[in-house]
Amino acid sequence: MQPTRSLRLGIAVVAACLGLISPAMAQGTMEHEHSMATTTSSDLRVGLNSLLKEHVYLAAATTGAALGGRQDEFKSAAGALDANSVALSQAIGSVYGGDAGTAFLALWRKHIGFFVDYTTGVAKKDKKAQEKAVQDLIGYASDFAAFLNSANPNLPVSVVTDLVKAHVVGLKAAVDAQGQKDYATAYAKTREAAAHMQMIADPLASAIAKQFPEKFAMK
Amino acid sequence: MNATWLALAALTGVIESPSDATVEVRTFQFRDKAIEIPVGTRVVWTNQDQIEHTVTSGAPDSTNGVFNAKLAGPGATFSFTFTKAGTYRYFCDRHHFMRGEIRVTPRGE
Repeated sequence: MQPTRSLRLGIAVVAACLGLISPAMAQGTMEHEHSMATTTSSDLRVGLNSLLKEHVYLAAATTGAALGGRQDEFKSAAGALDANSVALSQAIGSVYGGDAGTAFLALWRKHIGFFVDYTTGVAKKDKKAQEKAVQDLIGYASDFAAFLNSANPNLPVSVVTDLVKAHVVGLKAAVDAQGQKDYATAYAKTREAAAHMQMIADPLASAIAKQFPEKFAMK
Repeated sequence: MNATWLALAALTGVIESPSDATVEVRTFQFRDKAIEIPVGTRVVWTNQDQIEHTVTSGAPDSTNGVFNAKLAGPGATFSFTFTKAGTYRYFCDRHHFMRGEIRVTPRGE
């Protein structure tokens, strides 16, 4: 499956920012869409925002296709969503090491799996399954926050936990609306959930830049 | 360090003996992921994450009961002395992707 243009852009920006690929390679990857002459904290912020917002849109596309019974679209959306997850893990791995990137990917995929459980519960109108998935997602928020805090002490566990819970609540609202075929609300909630990712991406970028000031020039 | 403190430390296991090996649990990983030790070595796992992990022998679909301990939070430790040669795989029962391995070799190898 070919990643979308914006996903390629996001991957290339973050990869270049975090040293995965050279600026020249990034330029090639982005088909000269964006100049990467310097690595700055703002480049990092833009890259992480791009990937995390894309996560929301691809997740909503995946759950929407699943609830609409569009199997081929679901498979393609799920593939693109996983490509986005891999790109995020590569970004994390380029800063904290390959093993940390692998752990991040496993953890990140876990919350996507819980969302699949939730969406399945919505499709089957199974309240118990939905409640179980929500509990799993809330528990996941603490795990994810602990991971980021372990990698970067500038990210307090309680703050990240609350931000991830807000992400869960926001995307859940979009899935609920998709399940009710209330598409106006579904798209509005998806946009809200995507906008909220800035609340995670910005502090994450700032914390990484603070932790590695030699790597990310403050601009 | 006075003798009383040393005696207390030895009783509570605070001080690692020269034959100890250590595994750090950090960023949802066992570090080092695989270690090789001679028979009789005690391995000490220390949690550095702000979340509970476990050190559970075997694999998620086939635990073997050799050891299973909770590491409640940062600073929590668990130790186990390996008295038989062999390869001991283990994982975290809360995060199944966390895997580790202890290779225990006979003395003199």
